[in-house]
Amino acid sequence: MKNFTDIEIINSVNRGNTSDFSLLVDRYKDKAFSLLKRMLKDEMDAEEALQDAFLKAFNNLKNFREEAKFSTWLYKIVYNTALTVISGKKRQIRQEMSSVDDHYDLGDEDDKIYSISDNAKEYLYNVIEKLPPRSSVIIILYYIDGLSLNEIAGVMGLSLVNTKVMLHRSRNSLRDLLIKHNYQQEILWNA
Amino acid sequence: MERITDEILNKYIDGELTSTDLTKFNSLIKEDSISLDKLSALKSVDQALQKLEPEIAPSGVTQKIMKQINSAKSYIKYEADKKFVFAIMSFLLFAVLFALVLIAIMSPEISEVSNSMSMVSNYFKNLTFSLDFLKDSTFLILTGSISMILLIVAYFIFESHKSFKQNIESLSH
Repeated sequence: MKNFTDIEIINSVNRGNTSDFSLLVDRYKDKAFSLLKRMLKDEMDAEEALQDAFLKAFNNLKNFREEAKFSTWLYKIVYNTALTVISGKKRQIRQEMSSVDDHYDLGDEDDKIYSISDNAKEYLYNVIEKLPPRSSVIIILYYIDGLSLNEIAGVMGLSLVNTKVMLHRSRNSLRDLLIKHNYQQEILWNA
Repeated sequence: MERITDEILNKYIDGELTSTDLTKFNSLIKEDSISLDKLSALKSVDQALQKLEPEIAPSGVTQKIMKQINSAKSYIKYEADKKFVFAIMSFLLFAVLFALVLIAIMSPEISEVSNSMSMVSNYFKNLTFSLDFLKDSTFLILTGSISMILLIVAYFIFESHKSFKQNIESLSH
């Protein structure tokens, strides 16, 4: 069963072979966890949300339409689960949600990150950890999961244009921070 | 293309410039050191992002998820069994009541029962309480019907409470 496609596994689960669902969990748990950890900024919250998301996916498996990719469908559930957790928490809610469409500005935190980073790459990765949830989602889905902008738009419930704009803004914000600290060449040299 | 903007830089990174735009871009960037700097930085960002690794999910998470799924399945089966038992018990109770009603209407020996009942009722009459109504067949039919209605109502209340609980649980997720 391990080399079967997502659709074949789903059909098997829908026929009553519940244990086959563990194959889908194993296949997508790392990427889903990446997404959740970068959105929620907390490992325990991310783990709990991961379990919730897969449970929701299992309970709604019969509603999955084969025209869409299972990964896109699952990421949508994962994303919405993370948003539910974020909206339920009191700390940083307004700050996180309001920076969705704005240029990202680290402010004082940039100096802190710069001071604790040994090199350009480390600095960049530390900054990426601090990205607002929706910017993180786009970066993760585009660069780690290899989703197209169309698919990402479907996951996040945005238009293609907005998704593209958000990706470009995230990249531009990171770019400007590299320029600020004169790090742009260092990363290219060490690539 | 008159000048290089952030949008054009991003399009260049994503390989979305047409060959004409690319030629124009290459000639403009040579004369624009600020855009050249931005392009280097953007390339750095893109390269670093491409090297991002996914986080590893905590160990044992698959087992935890499957355990929750199997527990939920067992609970659903338990509820279904409970509902089945409740339905059977209700049916049997209704059948017993219906049989009592039929006996009350059709049995010739009911008068003996009535006599015994009268003795009991006389006893209670001394305590200012009468049980004469128990020998009344109309009363028996009425109580049988009311019991049946109450059982049906109880069943629907049970079902609606269960679906309300399920809705609350799904909303909380």
